Amino acid sequence: MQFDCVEVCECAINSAQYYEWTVRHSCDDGAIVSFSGLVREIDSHLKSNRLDTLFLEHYPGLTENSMKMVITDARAKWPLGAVCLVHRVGAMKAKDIIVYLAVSAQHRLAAFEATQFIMDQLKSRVLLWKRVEDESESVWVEVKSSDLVAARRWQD
Amino acid sequence: MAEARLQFFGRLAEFSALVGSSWAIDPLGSTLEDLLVELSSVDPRLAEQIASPQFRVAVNDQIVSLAYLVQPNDRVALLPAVTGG
Repeated sequence: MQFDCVEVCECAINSAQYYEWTVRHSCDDGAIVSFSGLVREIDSHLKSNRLDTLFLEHYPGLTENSMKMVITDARAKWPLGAVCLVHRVGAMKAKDIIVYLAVSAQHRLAAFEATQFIMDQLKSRVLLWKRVEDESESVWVEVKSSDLVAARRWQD
Repeated sequence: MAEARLQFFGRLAEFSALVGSSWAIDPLGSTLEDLLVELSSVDPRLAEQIASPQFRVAVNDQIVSLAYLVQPNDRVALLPAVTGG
């Protein structure tokens, strides 16, 4: 059985709640890998290097669709049970969870690899745009070449 | 005159005031490529964003190719390189 949970939300992500969902939908799987992406206070896009607020813009509907497409591609590569992918949008502060991902599979290798694949693809394909702010600046974040390289390494 | 509506996402939002929220479609037909050529002539920084390999366009909430023939009242969303996660 395969179960997907894909959400975009403006409120704080309760990772325990989504981990619990993944456990309940993992059937007979023996492995769950989970990943939380956090807002970092140190930010080189700002002259101060200190982030006050991170703002994430999305494209309602199409952002969720692009998240689902990444999961579909992961399922074509690995036999996965439950996949839970939640992304926060709007205003956030340091240490807030931006993204939560949990993947279940019968064995750990598939769960680990699929988790890395989904995050690499999310960073280069899912319709989300970051802006960082402090007291004196508001700067849109540039795409990192390392993220594009990470996404391309799965092409074969 | 038939027009399409323009939506600017991410860092492209700063160009919405410069470009406007609508675009006149040529009576003989206009593709998205025609639109992007015109927009690229407005500001070199906008041209740079459009030239990025990661730049994409959605019409009425679907990602489409630049050969798409723009229709009256289409919602054309200009999507710069993404930076989520």
